[in-house]
Parts: sequence; structure tokens; C-alpha cells
Amino acid sequence: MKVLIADDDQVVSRLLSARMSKAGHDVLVAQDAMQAVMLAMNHLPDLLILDIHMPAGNGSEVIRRLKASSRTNQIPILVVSGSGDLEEQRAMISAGAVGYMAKQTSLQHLEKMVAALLQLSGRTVAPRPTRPWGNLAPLAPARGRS
Amino acid sequence: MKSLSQESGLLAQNGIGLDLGVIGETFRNEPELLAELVVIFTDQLPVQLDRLGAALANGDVVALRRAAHQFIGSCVVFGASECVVLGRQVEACPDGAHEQMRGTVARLSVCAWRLLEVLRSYVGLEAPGATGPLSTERGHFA
Repeated sequence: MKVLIADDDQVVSRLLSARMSKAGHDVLVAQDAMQAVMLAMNHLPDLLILDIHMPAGNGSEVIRRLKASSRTNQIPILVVSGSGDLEEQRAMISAGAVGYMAKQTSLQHLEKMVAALLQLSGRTVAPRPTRPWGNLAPLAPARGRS
Repeated sequence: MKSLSQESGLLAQNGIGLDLGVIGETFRNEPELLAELVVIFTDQLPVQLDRLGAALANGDVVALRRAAHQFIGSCVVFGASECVVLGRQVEACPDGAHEQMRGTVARLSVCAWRLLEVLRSYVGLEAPGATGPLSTERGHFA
């Protein structure tokens, strides 16, 4: 699974990135809102973990832009904020986020939340395929299905 | 949740309410990751404190709130409760009340340097400011 982490705090983004990698996900990191939008559009992650207060626009702007595009409006967005403010939480959910967590929440809880969201969107975490014969060629799409 | 006596015990222990037991548990199998985060925090802290100082000097309450908010994120990761409390006070600064935040920002600065000192010691790194430019940053707002 591909997870995009958008947070300008490098301690937080490094920690989340390490934990998501450990859980078997491919991780992309954005350090400001503009970069988050660009990476989301170019890489179409399976989940975006988004901080609200970032340089170059805030989290709600990121949600608005991604929800406005048919290419990116299906990307689940989990907002992780330092404030935990109820009004902020309501605003983010109304804007289209699928979940909201305060940064004080334990990492274990966050990891469970990420797994649940990926599962809900039909993107369950599967073990990485092992190919004992090596990387011969990319897997070809099945023919005659459509 | 920690009891009041546990909180005050931790405050007396390292002056900032930092529970090293929780850190040890959180990073039990990842000491390298913790050390890496502490190094990132070492680089990040002077920049964050400079932002707070500049916002205060310019009377820019919006920038002051934003700088405090950014600072809180790292402190939450390390479970530095006292720094988080002070950061929240600055983050809640009412419009036009930045002058009243001067003392809180000074306490926050002292608390943050102490946090860094404790963390570096915990992961076996040299104390901040022992050598190099960090020493001139200490007590910036005090």
C-alpha cells in the first residue's frame, strides 16, 4: 500500500514514516500543503495522513483540492492534528476527511486506524509478494476480463 | 493517565515532566529510530524557537500561534507534557496579547532546551551546547 504523510514537523513525519514502512507500506512524505497536493495527484496514494497546520496552505485547502478532482477524490484522508479541537474535527470531516486523530493519540492507535481505513476502502494490507525467480517482468494484466 | 503525584514526581526528576519510561516503552525495539528523532529535534529546535522569538518581537500573534503549534508536535512525540502545556498556552494567545506571552515563551524555551538535554543524554549523545553554536542559543528568551 502507498501512504502519503504530509506534516512539516520532521520529527513527526520521520516517526510516522518509519512506522508505516515497518507495517509494510510504501511511504511518501510531503512537508507542505502544495507538495502534498502534487504528490497525491502524481502518485495516487491509498491513504493520505494529513497535518492541518502546514506552510504553503493548510490541511483544509489540501482536502478541498483533492476532493475537487475526479482523479483524487477517492483518496481516503486521515487528519492528524496537534489541537484535537472539536470544531476543527467537524470541519475536516465535513470537508471530506474519513477520520481525525489528535497527535496525542498513541502510535498503536494510529496504526490500527490506518489498517482499518485501508481495509474499509478495500485496500487490505497484503504481504509483499515474493518472486523466487527474480524480477523477470512486470505482471501482465489478465486478458479477456472486461 | 498519570496521577498528580506521578506528574509531580516526574517534574522533580527532570524538571519537565518527561516520562522516560514511556519513551523507553514506545521505542523499545527501535533505539536507532529514537536517536535519529533526537538528532532531527536537535536541528529543528533552534529554528522553532527563533520563529517564536521573531513572532514575539514583531507582535505577530498569528505567526506566534503557528510557531507554538509546530513546536507542540515534536513535544507530543516525546511525551514532554510540560512543554506541551506551555506550547498550548502560547497557541491560545488572544489577539493583541502577545506581550503577555513573553514570560511563557521564555519558560517554554528553557523547558525545550532541558527536554533536548534529557533526550540527548538518554540516547547517549553529547549534551546540547557542550560544543558548537548551540551554546549561544541557550536561554535565548530568558
